[in-house]
Amino acid sequence: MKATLAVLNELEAQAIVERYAIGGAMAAMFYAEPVVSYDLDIFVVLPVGNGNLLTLTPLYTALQQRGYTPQGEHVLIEGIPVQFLPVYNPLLEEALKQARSVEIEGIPTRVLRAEHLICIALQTGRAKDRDRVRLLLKEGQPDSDLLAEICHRYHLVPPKEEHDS
Amino acid sequence: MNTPYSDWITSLFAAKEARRQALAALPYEEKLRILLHLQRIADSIRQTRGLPAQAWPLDSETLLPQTPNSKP
Repeated sequence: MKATLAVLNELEAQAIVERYAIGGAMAAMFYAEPVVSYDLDIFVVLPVGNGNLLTLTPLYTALQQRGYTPQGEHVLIEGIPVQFLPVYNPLLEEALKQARSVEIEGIPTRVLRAEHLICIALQTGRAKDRDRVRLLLKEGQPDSDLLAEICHRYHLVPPKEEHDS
Repeated sequence: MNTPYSDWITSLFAAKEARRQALAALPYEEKLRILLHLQRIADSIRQTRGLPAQAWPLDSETLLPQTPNSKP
């Protein structure tokens, strides 16, 4: 994965993306037990292009120039299918802005905070998102005050941890 | 009516919970190795149903893209 992260860092250094952070299952795995997943979700802030249009085209072009071609909704980068998700609402903007700087395999990168991952999953609301909320509440040690505060600001119902017995 | 768990079941659940917490506390690199293993197990099941393999082609030791000398 370090080879993939190095490519992402290069894209940011060259201002092809303004900022990126790992989200989705691979970010949840930072806080909780590993759960099988096959793609790496990368949230990105894209530079604003001509006519104030946000488009993934410059990013995809830059990746193709490096030999990484799109396959459906992913781009295969050093063996890992990466899905780029431009931030599309204020919660994601905040999550990306406040993402944690970490090192994975010695490579600097960013991972969304557990509290934001929970709120994004609450907002998205699919079955797998509900599973992720449960997992992160149980194992991710989220800051409950921060979680409640983010939920309040984005009009989300704060989740309660479920107990097994 | 809920039947109370026997002591044996209660301790089994506690052990499972402790294992999950231990897995959650592992370094990210170790979790990546577990993920690769899980992907390969899932692939072996997928392939019995005629579905293509999806596991990342990474060396499970170096976590870099596989070469001809890589460990599966």
